[in-house]
Amino acid sequence: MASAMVESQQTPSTVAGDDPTAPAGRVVLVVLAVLGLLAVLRAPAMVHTGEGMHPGLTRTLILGAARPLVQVTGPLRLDAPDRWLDRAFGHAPSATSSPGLASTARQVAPRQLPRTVPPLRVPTAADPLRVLITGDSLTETLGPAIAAAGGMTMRSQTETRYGTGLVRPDFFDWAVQARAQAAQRDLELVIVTMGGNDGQTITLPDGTLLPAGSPQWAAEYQRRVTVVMRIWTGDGTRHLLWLGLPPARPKRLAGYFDQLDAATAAAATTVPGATYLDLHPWLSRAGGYSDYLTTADGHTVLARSRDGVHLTRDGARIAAAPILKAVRALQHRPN
Amino acid sequence: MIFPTIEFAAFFAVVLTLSWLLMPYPRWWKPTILAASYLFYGYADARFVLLLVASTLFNQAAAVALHRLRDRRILVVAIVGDLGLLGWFKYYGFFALSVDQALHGLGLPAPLPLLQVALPIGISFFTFQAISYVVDVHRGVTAPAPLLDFAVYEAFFPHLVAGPIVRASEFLPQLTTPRDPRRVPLYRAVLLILGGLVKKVVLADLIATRLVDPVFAVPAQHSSAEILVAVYGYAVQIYCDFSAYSDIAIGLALLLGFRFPDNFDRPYVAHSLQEFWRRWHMTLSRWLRDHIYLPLGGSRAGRRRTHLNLMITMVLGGLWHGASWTFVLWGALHGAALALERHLRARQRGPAEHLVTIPLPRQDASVPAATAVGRGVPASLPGYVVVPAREPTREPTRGPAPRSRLRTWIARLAVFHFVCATWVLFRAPDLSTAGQVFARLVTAPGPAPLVTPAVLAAIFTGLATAAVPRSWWVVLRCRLAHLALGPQIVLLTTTSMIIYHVVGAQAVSPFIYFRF
Repeated sequence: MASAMVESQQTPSTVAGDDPTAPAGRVVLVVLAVLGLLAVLRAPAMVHTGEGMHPGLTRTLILGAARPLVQVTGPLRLDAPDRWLDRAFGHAPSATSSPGLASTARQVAPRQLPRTVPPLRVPTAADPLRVLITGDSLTETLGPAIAAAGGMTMRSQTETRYGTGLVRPDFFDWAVQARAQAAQRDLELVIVTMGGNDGQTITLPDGTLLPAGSPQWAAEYQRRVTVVMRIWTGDGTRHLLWLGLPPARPKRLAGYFDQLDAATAAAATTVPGATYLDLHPWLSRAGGYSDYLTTADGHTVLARSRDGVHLTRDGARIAAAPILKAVRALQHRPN
Repeated sequence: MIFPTIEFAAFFAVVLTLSWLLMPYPRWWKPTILAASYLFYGYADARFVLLLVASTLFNQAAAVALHRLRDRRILVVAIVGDLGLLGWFKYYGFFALSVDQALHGLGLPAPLPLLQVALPIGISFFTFQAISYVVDVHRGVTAPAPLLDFAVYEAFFPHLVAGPIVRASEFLPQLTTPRDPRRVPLYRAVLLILGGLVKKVVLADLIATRLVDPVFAVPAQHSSAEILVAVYGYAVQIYCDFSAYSDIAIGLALLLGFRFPDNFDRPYVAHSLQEFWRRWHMTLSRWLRDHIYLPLGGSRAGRRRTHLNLMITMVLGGLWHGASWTFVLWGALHGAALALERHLRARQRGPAEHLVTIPLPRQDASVPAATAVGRGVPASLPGYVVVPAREPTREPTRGPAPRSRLRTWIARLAVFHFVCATWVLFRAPDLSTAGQVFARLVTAPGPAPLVTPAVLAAIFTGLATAAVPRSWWVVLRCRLAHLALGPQIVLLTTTSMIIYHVVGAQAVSPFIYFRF
């Protein structure tokens, strides 16, 4: 077979009827060459993709191959076509590292902030409340459910960033994203939920590793939450409602979620305009995780998706009621 | 593992090379490709590989027993086992919850435990293939294959998770001899793969993220114009998404030397609903025809029974897509419309001119057929339609009288709009959301900020793919074939880079049919 492949590489393409064919050797050569060239020319994008993966063998293998490639292709400017195409199509170049959130987090310092934010405006159908619902994949079902429950007095937009969180600003920097969101929209309220992907080690800009679950990890997470909360609230000029994570079926993840929730709740007490809402009372049964929950009218519904983390549409509808109640509460009291 | 990812690219590079190196040695090739397919399947959750292995062993045992004993009860046990497996994983939750909710209204307690059953990806597809194999053995269309061959057929990774649903009689003969390494349709394969990437990454995902997803998530916040364009947009999105997966699967199989049947043939040019079903998800259509419609009696038992058979077939086809009342209603509407179409056509022609016409794929041209004729199976086998080898399945010779161009277009538009309207049920998460979409279609004037030039261009481009003559693809393949190796590689690399840059760094969303 090997000899057949070598021989076939030297054979030109043959054309039979309307379906031109090629020898297997050429097929393998073309496929490997194209994939190899893509790997070389798009090495930074490969690093970016690898950084977005959950820790594991695949991530290690991809980063193990892609990072050395970047070291070679960068100086040789082999990534120039990729960057040129990015510019041509109006996209920012893929970043291999973006320490904005991490470095900003280290610089968080007490500021002279207003003590309270005025109550949220009471909206009407003619002038609905301008709301941004954003965060990780948890917002995928929560966003539409909140919007539907909000009715005509709420004009919301959901912006979901899958597979993101606050522990990996090298992959996706929520500080940068929050600034862009705040700058591009005339927002009155931001509703945020994230953390589903954050049960992993934090790497500080100086290379220090903070293992998931450690007190240092929780403290660093709280600092990062504080940073993005300040951006979304416009340093105390806008309301932010941060939704706590729902109980998770995997016990290890549930433990992380409890720590993340505690860190977020603590951060919210220090940022004017920020409110933390614990959803556990509505999304748990007998205080713990349950796939099925009971609606306000007594019906049993499948509330959780198969991964034991995300909410189904019915689960999101259950959560939407207390969220709307919390929004209405912001209309009657300063924060 | 999904196709347009780095993981799959690395996996395929290794498998393609190994496959052609080992092709002359079936003793090595088959276990290798089987192991690769199990790795592909178990990448997300290794536990489900055991399910696939169990399904393979169960159906192979049934096929061998059927062949030896010729006992119909074995067939019944096999089908019940397969459907039981599918029912447990796919429908148990829906069934238990529906019973619970029905009894709740009567104040009775729930009789079934409410469990969260994990859905193994692709279970609908490999179960249907397994049933097809056992039924074919029962009918004598194919002899039981060696266990390893059947395992490769059921698990072959290009079609494993979302089809096409390949018949045993189409695939197993391709395993009997090594694929010809001198004549691999490379250019057809790469154009299918690149075309599939364009349809998926550029068109389907763009339409979904910028218009369809936001509109169907909260129809109450969108104007009639946005909803109207989103309905058309979803028709294009689901076509581009699913046909892209099929094209990529067919292209990958071609690179490995295997041929799959076509799965889509420009469905939105159909000028009857019957024709639509011969062009849309063709391999599912023919499975439903062969394994539900014809065994029910097809159109041989009178008009009313034919209409009932159509309804049953289409409702079950709807339910196959998912455990939801929206899919049931979607199937029922298509069944009713097919029955109405037949009724009207029969009235136009008169009873003497009425011929048997059933929704079946338009053609199987791309597959080297190993059919009943080729294997000497008697044509009188109950429920089995004999298809001449390499002959496309055609409509009856006495079809409707030629229509005027205008009538053809009116019919085409009517079918397209019926299909678009029923896609609303397919896309909406529940009946109330579907109702909202229909209601706001006519009651919500206002601006349409989501209807951007980019979205409109994607929708029109998706529709325009139906207008591309086949000859253009042939010309393109020939031109690509005549390029030297270097320019070919540069051209394919550049095209791939452009495809991904059109949409930027966003992740490719999962294919719609993965969930079925």
